[in-house]
Parts: sequence; C-alpha cells; structure tokens
Amino acid sequence: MTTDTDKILDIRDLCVSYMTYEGKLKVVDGLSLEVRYGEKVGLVGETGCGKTTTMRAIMDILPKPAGQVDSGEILFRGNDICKMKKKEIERIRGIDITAIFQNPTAALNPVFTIGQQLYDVIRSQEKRKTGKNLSKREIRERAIKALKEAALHDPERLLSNYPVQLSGGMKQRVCIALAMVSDAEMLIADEPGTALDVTIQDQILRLSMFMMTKRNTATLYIEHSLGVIREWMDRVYVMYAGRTVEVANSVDIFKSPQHPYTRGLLAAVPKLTGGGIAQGIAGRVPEYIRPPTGCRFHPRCEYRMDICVKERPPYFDLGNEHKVACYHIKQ
Amino acid sequence: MKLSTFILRRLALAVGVLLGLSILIFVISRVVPGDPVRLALGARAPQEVVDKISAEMHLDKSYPVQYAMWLKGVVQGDFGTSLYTRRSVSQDIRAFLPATLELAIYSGIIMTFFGILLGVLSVQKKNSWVDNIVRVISYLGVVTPAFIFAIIFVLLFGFYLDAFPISGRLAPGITAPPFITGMITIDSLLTGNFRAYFSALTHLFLPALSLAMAGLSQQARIARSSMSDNLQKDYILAHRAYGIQERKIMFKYLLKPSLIPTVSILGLDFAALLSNAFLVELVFNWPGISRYGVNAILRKDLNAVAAVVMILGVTFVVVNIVVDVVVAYLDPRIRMRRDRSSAL
Amino acid sequence: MHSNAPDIKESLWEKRKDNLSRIWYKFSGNYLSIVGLAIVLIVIFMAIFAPWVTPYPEHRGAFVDFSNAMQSPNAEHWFGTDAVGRDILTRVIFGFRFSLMMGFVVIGLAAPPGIVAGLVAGYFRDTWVDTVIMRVTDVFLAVPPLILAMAITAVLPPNVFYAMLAVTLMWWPWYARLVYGIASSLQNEFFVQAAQVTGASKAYIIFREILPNSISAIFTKMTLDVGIVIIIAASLSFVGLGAQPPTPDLGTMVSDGAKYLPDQWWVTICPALAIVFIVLGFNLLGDGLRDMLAVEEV
Repeated sequence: MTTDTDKILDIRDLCVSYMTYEGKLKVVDGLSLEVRYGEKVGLVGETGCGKTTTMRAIMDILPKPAGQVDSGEILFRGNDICKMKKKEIERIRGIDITAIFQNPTAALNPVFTIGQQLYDVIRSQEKRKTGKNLSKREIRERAIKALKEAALHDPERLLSNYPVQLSGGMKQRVCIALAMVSDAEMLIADEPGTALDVTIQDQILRLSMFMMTKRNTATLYIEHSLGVIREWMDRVYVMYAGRTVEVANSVDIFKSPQHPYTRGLLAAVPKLTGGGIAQGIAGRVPEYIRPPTGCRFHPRCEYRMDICVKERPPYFDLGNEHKVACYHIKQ
Repeated sequence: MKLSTFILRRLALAVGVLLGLSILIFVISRVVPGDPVRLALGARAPQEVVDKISAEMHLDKSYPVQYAMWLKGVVQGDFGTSLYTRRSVSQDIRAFLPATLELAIYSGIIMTFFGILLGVLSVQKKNSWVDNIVRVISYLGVVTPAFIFAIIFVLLFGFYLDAFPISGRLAPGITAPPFITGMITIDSLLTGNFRAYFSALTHLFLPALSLAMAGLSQQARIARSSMSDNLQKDYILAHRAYGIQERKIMFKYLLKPSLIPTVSILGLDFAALLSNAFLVELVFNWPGISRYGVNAILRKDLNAVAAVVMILGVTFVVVNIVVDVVVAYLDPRIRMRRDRSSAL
Repeated sequence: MHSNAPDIKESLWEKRKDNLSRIWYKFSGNYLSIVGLAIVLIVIFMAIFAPWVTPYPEHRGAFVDFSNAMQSPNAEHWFGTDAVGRDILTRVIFGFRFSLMMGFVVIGLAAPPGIVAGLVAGYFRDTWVDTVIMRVTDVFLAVPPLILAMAITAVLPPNVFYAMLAVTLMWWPWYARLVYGIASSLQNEFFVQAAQVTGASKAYIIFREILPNSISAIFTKMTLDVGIVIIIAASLSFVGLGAQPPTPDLGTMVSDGAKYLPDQWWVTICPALAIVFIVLGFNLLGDGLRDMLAVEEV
C-alpha cells in the first residue's frame, strides 16, 4: 500500500553484530522496519534486544571496530546508508536525520559550556546547509530560541553553564534543543526518558512529541516501556532478540496483539482496574552467540510447534497494516 | 567554586607541605652518625676549626632550637655557609640555580609541546607507520634513563655528526651577557646580544633533549591513550550525530577533555625533570644547581645539600600548584565537585 | 522450560580454568607483554646462574689483564673488554644481579609498610590517624623521590646497601597513596555501602572488600616500579652514590666507560644497552599486566 517514495526510512533485513572474546554477538538479525514521512513510529522491546544497536547502525555511529553491519540495507530517503561514503553520511547527519540519546549526561561534553556546544552545532549545520557564516549574534539568538522551545527557563544564563551544573531533566531538554536546532525531517529518539525519574520522563516525552507533531517530523521512538508510546505513536513495532516480531497501528497493537511475546508484554503491565498481579514471561532473553534457531522466541513460547524451532517465521499480513511473524496465528 | 578560591586552598595546602618538608630535610641533615662538621671537613682538620664551625652552625643547641634558627634563616634566604666552598650557600645558589631553571624550562617546553603533538599525530593516523614509530620512540623514552640518552646524544650528535656542542653553556669565544636573570638566553635577548643567544641555544639543545625524552614519551603515550579512549565516548557520538564537522570534533571537542590526563601527568613529569637534571648536568658539564647538589652530597656539605633539596622542593610544589590550577581550569567538574561534596 | 542460560552448577574448578584461560587470552593477545615476560625471565635466569652462564666469571671483581684491555667486540668477548681487560659481557650479566637485587629488595621492603599505612589510613578514615598518615605521605610525595633519596645518601657512606635504604625510605609513601586512593574511591561503591549497612566491621571491609580489589593495582605497580628503581639505582651509581668499583654495577660501568668515548664506545654503550634491556622487559610486562587486569589507577 505504501510506495517506496512514501518512506523516509526503510530498513531491510538488517544484521548487526559485535566481535567479542566469547565470539560474535549476532545482536540484530534480520530486522525490517519502515518509517514514512511525518509518521511517528514506536519501537518497543526489552533491554538487550538490540534497539540501541539498531539506532547506532542507522546513524552510522556504531563503536568501531567491534560493531559492524553484516548485511541488509538501511535506506534513508532511498539511499543506502551502509553503502554511503563518510562524507555523504556527514552531510545528512544532524541536518536531515537527528537523534536524542538515552543518557543526557554522557551525551554532553563535560568540559564545554552548553552555549559552546550549541553554537558549534548551529554554526556547522548552517554552513553545511546554506554555506553561510552566521554572525555571533545570530547564532546566540538561535541558541536561545532553541532552548526556549525546549521549555528551559533563563536560557541566557544556561548558555554559560557546564553540564555538571544542570539536573538530569534539564540536560535532556538541552539535548532535545540540540536535536531540534536543525529542523531535520527525521528524529530517532533512544529511550530519552530512561535515565530520568518518572515525572520528568513524562514531561520530556510530551515536550518531544509536541515538537515532533508541530514540525511534522518523522520519528522513530525507541522505548522499553509500552505505556509511553501508546498516546503518541501512529504505528508500533515490537522487537525481540534482534528481530521485529509484530507491527500494527497503535490502537490494534493494544487491542488485539497477536504475537505471544506482545501478549506477554501487555499482560506484564500491572493494571489498577482489576486483573490482579501481572504475569511475567518465563525464561530469559537469549544469548547472542548461539541464538535459538528458527523463531528466537520459541524457548519461551507456550504455543511452540516443531516448525517454530526449525524455520524462522515470515511476516503474515493481517490487514490494516498489522503484520505478525509467528506460525501460531495461522488459524 | 570559583577558580580563585581553588587557588587559595591549594596555596594553603602547599605551605603546610613545605613546612613538613623543611622538618624532614632538617631531620635528615642532622641524623648523621657522628659529627657532621668533622665528616665534611675530614679527619685531619684541627679541632679548633671544627669547634668554631660547630658553634657557627649552632650545633650545640637542642634540636628544636636548631630547627627554628635554620628555618628562620631559610625564610630570609640564608642557608648558612657551605662547608666546602666557605661561601654563603645562598650565593652559590644564586649562581647556579638559573642555569638549571633555564635547562628545565627548555626541557619542559620540548617535553610538553612535542609530547602532545606526537600523541595527537599518533591517534590521527592510528596504526599507520607514523603511529608505530611514535609508539616505539615513546616506549624507549620511558625505559631509558636520562643519562643514557645524554651519552647517546653526545656520541651521535657530538662526535659522529659534530652538529651540536656537548659541554658548557656557551662557546668559549663568546662573551656572556650581563647577569640579569642568570638565564643566558633571556639575558642575551634582553641586551640584544644575538651571538650569545644562538650559542646558548645550541648548547641547550642536547641537554634539554636528553632530559625531556622521558617526559616527552609519557606525554605522547598518555595523550594518545586518552584521546583514543575519549573517541568512544557518547558525547563524541552525539557531536557527530548533531553534525559538527569531524575536524572540529578532533581538534576541539576531543582534545580538551583528553588534555586533562596529560596535564595532570605534567606535574610528575616535571618532577622527573628536576630529579634527573643532575645526570644531564654532569654529562654535559652544565653548571647548574643539581650538579652543585651532587657534589655537595659527595663532599658531605650538609648545609648545601639541605638548601638544594629545599629549593628543588619549593620549585616542585609551585609547579604542582600551577598544574593543579590548569587542570581545574580545563575540567570544570573538579571545581564544581568540591563545592557539592562540601554541601553533602 | 528450556533455557539457554549457562548451568549455574558449573564446578568451581571449571570456572577457575576458564578464568585463567581468559586472562591468558587477554595477556597473550598482546605479544609485547609476552616479550616482556620473556625478557624478565631471561634476565632473572642469567642473574641467578651468573657464575655458570658467563664466559669469564672471574672477571667480575677486581681482575686485571692489561694484555687484553680495550678489545672491541669480537668472537671471544661479545661485548669487548674494558680498560683493565675484563670481559664486559660477564660483568654486565653480573651487573644484572645488582640491578635485580636493588629492584626486588627496594620494592619488597617499601611496598608492605606502604600498603599497611594506606590500609590503616583507610580504616581509621576521617580520624586524626588518617590525617596524620596522609599528611606525612604528602610531604614525602611533595618532592621527587630521587632527590630526597640522594639527600639521604649524603649522610651515609656511599654503597649499594645504603643506596637501597635511601630509595626504600622514599618509596613506601607511593604505595600508601595508591591503596588509600583505592580505598577512598571504593567507599562510594555500592558493595562497600552494602557491607556497612549489613553491619560488617571495619576490619572486614578493609581486608575482605578493599584489599582484594587493590591487589591488581598493587601488583601492576610493583612490576612497573622494579623498572623505575633499577633506573634510579643505575643513576645513583652513575654519580658515585651507589655501588663502588670494582663491583660490576651497570650504572658504575656506564660512568667509568664514559671517559673513553667515542673511540672505545663499547665500554659504556654495552652496559647502557643492558640497562635499557632490563627496564624494557619489566615495563612491557607491567603494561601487559595493567591492560590485562584493567587497572586504571596506576
């Protein structure tokens, strides 16, 4: 239904691995997902399923030399990032595609002021986009504007502060300001609220979503918590052990989840209204050196069939953009 | 915390340390088995001379009194009389200290500047032949004592290549500039004596290089490893993701945090400079305070020894304060952390 | 439920073997460390078996044979002979003995009191004991160790023994500072706080939590220090404050041979290279240890 030109990001069968002492960690194994222009897509999965690795592969900031893309395509606006030269990637990074990181303390350079970091981002991006050199005043004005949009008080004073002087929430807002400076067409947000406490988390989420909607930015929002993405996403991918196992629009994924893992995730959320204590999913996330054959979830699945162990399930289309990679739903 | 408060705190600490050091030196110089004066003057000196000098040095009084009198003298710049040259030690120091300072300064410049430069080069071209050569040289620099470098340089540059002088501070024919700071390069510049300036520079080159090798190697290694580590940090990834040009990232955003460990080591490296100066001064016949100190030790000239150690100690403490201040400037977390932890 | 998690009942022996092979993997991955280990072992072997390994063991002390003096390196004397006809290779190997002795004795004597001082200061943290010990170490650390060591040798007769004593006296504070630093940084770690909260006594914390964590750093520092002490010993002898002739000490040999530059270069260059050789070995080994044990404080 969607043509290729509708998609700003199209990942096909991506495989990413890390080389370690114990062996090769095949973290991402055949991941496919797509994000259309202006769309808000959530990527949900538990810790260790490869979400951050995916994000780093997209932005080409995998830790070298350990991390490498083994196969697959990452098509950004039709061009494969895996095949791009360094210069080409540098041209789009920050300007056409931007990111917000999980840990705001680690994402800000501790020995430079907020102002210095903002100025340099603004200056480089303007140079790259239009070739113009902005005056100091213009840069400062833009910086203040960005900070204000990120709902930060007293932006003038903030500019001369060091990251160590700010609270976690403020640092994350600064990172949002940094990401928003460019007005990029696509944003990847990697669990931006995780390092913060819950009330701040909510604020940050609202802020980022508000800005995304206002600017109509395509967003890939990576999270481990389901509740976060419910309100704001158009579509949701569920990820397990390096693969996407289910995708649906945000209503269907909660109303009628099909994959046993998705169901397990939803059942694990404690509800205040009846239902009693939540149920967990037995077993553990697999190790990535000798991962399970066939469907990677089969060791923990109560509906396991012989074919699940042998062959990897393809995506079955249930209509209305709802796809599931599971043999069990074939009834 | 403001930078000024930080500096004041460090100064107060330094004074305490120096006081302790003076006690230590005093204890060492008096804990000699036997009579120190006789030790220095030799067994054949007449008893009256020994007695006279003992009285001059207040050796008859109790230790705390002796210490107090010695300390009083030190603070006023009087280190007593050299048992060997029979001049006041402070005179000797004034004569010899500038030579060592000059040597130390040039060594320090070579060490810091080229050390960091080599480290940066090494990281830029990681695993290339440039990198490997730098790594080999810097490794050899760490394991080779300064006097061996001195001898090798003397052999290589002095004898075989005959490119640099290997003795003294000035060529014999050249008149020295008047004693303003005692450092020939500065004094000759101040008086416009360019012949002396160039002669002094060429005479400085080999000794300064020998001394600097160890520190240069340390700086290069640490600069390389800290830059290499920081390259993996999240904020560098973030800078890239936000579109800052690679060159700017390398030379500004990577360099500043990476310099912090190198500057911290500068204090220790400078200590190595001061410690090893005597080796180089001996090989190159450099009339500096370290050579003076070594001779004083060999002659058991205790007043001179105490004075030299004290001077070197003060120099070292001052350099450390400067290093600490620079590090605090580079890394705001250090200033801020003090503030926060005192509030806890 | 079938699970991929490793069997927890894996025996302790298996775990130990796996740990050791993992350590060896990390260590041997860096071939320079192996080179360092090899050099150190060779030097130690030669030092111990010097009388049997050297071609002319009687040359080690006062020996003269002017007819053979000043021979440049040749088949009979690989390092040539010195001014009085002694084989330099032999003297260099015997010189290894002194260097190693200096290194091991000084570190062996300086480390334990230093470590104890650091632990004690950590144990009595924030009391006057802590302050006193740390201030004392501050004073010793304020001045480069070599300078104070030389000052100490001023009041003692110059020989190897007193030189060792002087350096030892200067060396212990560095270990105190190292251990104290580790103890301090560990104070904020959760496992220490957990132990405190569950009522562990201070002694327990010091010996069962902090000390084991310090061992890698201490051991690495000791290895690297041997190299540094050897350099210091050579420097002291070079100046005449350490071993006296005719003992075959590497530093003294370099100093004696310096007068014959440049023509009879081997008399001074061979012992000089020998010094570099030993220190290189210990440094490579120490660096390998540091990488392997992932130590940062050293």
